[in-house]
This record gives sequence, C-alpha cells and structure tokens, in this order.
Amino acid sequence: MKWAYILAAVGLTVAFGLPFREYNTEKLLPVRTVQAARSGSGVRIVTEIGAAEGADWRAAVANLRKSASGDVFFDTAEQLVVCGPSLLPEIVQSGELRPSAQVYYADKLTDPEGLNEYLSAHGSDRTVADVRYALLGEEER
Amino acid sequence: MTRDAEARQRYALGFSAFTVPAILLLPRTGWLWAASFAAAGAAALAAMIYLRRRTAKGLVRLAAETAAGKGALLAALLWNGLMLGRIAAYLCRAYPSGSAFPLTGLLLLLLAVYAARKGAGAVLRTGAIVFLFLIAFYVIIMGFSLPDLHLSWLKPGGKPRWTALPAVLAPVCVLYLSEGEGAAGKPALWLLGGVMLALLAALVTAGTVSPPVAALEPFPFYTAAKSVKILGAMERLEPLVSAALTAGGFCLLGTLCAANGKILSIFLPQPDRIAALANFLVGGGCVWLSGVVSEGVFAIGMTIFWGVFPFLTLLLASRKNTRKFLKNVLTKSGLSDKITERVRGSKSKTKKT
Repeated sequence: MKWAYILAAVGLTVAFGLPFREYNTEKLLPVRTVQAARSGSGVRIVTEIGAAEGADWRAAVANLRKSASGDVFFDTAEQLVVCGPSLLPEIVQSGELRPSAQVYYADKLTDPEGLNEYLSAHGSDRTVADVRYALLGEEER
Repeated sequence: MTRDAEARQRYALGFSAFTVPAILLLPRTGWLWAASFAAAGAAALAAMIYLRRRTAKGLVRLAAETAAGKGALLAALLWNGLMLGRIAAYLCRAYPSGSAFPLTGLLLLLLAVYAARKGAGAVLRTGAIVFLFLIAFYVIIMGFSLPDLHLSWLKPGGKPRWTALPAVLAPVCVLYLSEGEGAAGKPALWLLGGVMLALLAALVTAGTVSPPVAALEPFPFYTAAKSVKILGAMERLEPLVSAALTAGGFCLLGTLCAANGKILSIFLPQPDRIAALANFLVGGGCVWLSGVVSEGVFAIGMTIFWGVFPFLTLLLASRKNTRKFLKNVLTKSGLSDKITERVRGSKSKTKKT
C-alpha cells in the first residue's frame, strides 16, 4: 500500500513539475548593497557582483541575473542607495528587497568596493518598509 | 495510553492545525482583530470542550443517533472534501517565490491521506511531534523579531476581514476524532497559547512591514520574517516559515482526512480504503474548484460545519445526559417514588375540588 502512495507522489511531481529551482551552492551570489540610478537607457544598477542596465528596475535586475556568473539573490541586500528618489516606488514595490533593508540617497553611483562596510557603520533611519508605508499613505490620501 | 496523554495529543494537534489561520490569514487583519478573532474561536472551542466532557460518546456517534444528524454528517463530509481542496490550494502560498501551485498542496494532501489511512491515532501522534517543532520555531522567530518592531505601527487599528473569522474554528475538527468518554486534560493553557500565537504573529507582522502593507500581501508573516536579525545580523529564516506552515498545514489536512474517515464509518462497515481514495480525489479536485467559490461561501460553511453543527449536537446530547443523570440519582435515592406519590396526591386533590 505504501508503494501506491510513493508512486502517486512521483506521478504528481512528474505531472506538475517541481516548483523549486536547483541551485549550485558554489555559485550563490548574495547582494549586500544595491545602488540604482536613472541612466540614458532607463535604470542602471550597481552591486558588488556587477552592474547592469535595463528599461526599468525589473529589466535591470533581470539583466544582472543573466550576466552574472551564478545565482544572484537580491533579498539578502542590507542597503539600497538611490540616486534620484523617483526610482524608489518602483524598487520597493517590486518586492525584491527585504523590508528592513536600509535606504540611502546619493548624487551619483560609486564604487561598490567597501561600500557595505561604510554604510553599515553609518546606519540610515529609513528602511524599505518605511518607504512602502509612506507610499501607501500617499496613495490613500 | 492514559486519557490525559491522549487529550494532550488532541490539544497539540488542534494547536498545530490552528497555526495555519494564525500565521497565514490573521496577520492581514491587524493585531487587534487577529487577537479578537482568536479569542472568539477559543471561547467557542472552550464551550464545545465543556459540553463534550458531559457526553459519553464522540461527536460523530452522537450526531448519527438521529436521521437529521446523519444528514448533517453527510453534508459535513462533502463540506470537508471542499475544504481539503481549499486548504491544499491555500498552502501553496507557503512558498511565495516559486510556482508551488498545485504540487505543494496535492503532495501535502497525499501525505495527510496516508497518515489518516493509518488511523486517527497516527494523525494525533504526528500532531504532537509537529507541535514541539512549531512552538520552538515560532518562539525563536517572534522573540528575535520583537526588538526591531516599529512601535508607531502597533497602534490598534486595521480592518476586520469577517471572512477570515470562521477560519479560527479549524481546531474544532479535532472534536470529530474523539470517541468514548469526554475529553480529559486542561484545555485553558492550550487555548490561551493559541490566542497568544495569533496576537504575536499579527504584532510582529504589523510592526515589521506596517499594517497597510500587511493587508495587501498574500503571506505577510513570510515577508516580515525576511527582516529577522539574530545577534545583529540579518538571517534568512523565511524558508523555515514556509516549512513550519507546511507542517501545520499537514496537521490540518490530516485532521480533516481522519474526521472524514470517522464520518464515513457511520455509513460504511469498512471505510478505510474508500475514505482514503475519496479524500484524495475529492480534495484534489477541489484544489481547482475552490478557486471559483467565493470567500463568503467558505465563511458560512465553516461557521455551520465547524461551529454551529458540532456545538448544537454536543449541547443537545449533554442536556439529554443531564436528564438521564438526574433521573438515575433520583431513582437510586428513592426520591423519585416520593415525588411521584406527591404528584399523584396533588392531582387527586385537584380532582376532588
């Protein structure tokens, strides 16, 4: 009888496919700091893993994932540096970043080397959750 | 096994099953409403446990004593089938980043059917083991979340989602499994624990992602878990939230499958194999069907089959039992004859006048 259940489980998995991606643990690339700015072709993002451009935030994220040598994880990011506040709604509503990621404003994109340590030592009062809350409040008003 | 130990297993299974609405549904309504809903559910459950203690038979056997009760049991069986599909579909939300629908729900349903096929005892034992894992995990995750909450987001508020209210009655399904003498044990701490879990889950969610965002997210507690810091470092605990919800969901589905088996045993002499097949086929089919049924219909159905029907059955049975008990006491003490004589005497007097 046990075999009937095992066969049924295998059958269901074959029919609907596993809902999870397979990851190679050697190729996991967790992002720690994301910088984003408007550029000529849309949005440019810079991380420790690399940089990418796209028509909007989602496209830039997708392009970075394509060009990276492994699997990029954005929900590990601890800081978001935005050059131009108009980008913020698009970024926070995408759900890519964790709610407690700190938000910083800057004039231009900088070298990501050592940026995470610097920003960690100079914490921000504003988080992704704060921005999302403020945006919802504005929408309701 | 002693009656106390069996009762503890039952409460542990009910608690594990309750984690599904407490973690998945209630945080969307705000902490005040979540706690109020959970307290209302606990009060209803406490009343049913009290009545169950005054009856000598289980809920299913009591209902099966009358034709109307049998009809209601058949309706409950069909309803539970639909709910199996609904819960299995809902549990796919436990993995928001993947396309978990419908495989996660169907595999959990299959596992629950297998456990229930082994008997209600197997489901009870699993529930007791799962409870230990769930309580340890939720205490850790909520404990580490509390220091980072935004206090300004914890003002009482939120909008009540009335359709989520009857979901707090989910642990009532455990009452369908009990047989023989009324439940022993001390349910007060278990019920209080359930209310505290719902309150803390909603508090942590509201304080981390803010109440309006929590109301919009399909699984806000998962989003809140992304921000948990342990010793100052952010940890990725959200996959464990998915695992905990899966374990709780298995307990809820297993309870429903076992309850359906108990109900079918009233109508069929050897219901085990048919119950397993029916649970999987009906529940599996309803994974898709439940998507077209409105939230309001589910709310009404849960209120009837997990609230009104068990409560009325136990209430009527306990009243009948009380009458029998009083009759026995009066007969044994000889008071019954005296009362009869007095009644006859008073009747004859009224005739003379």
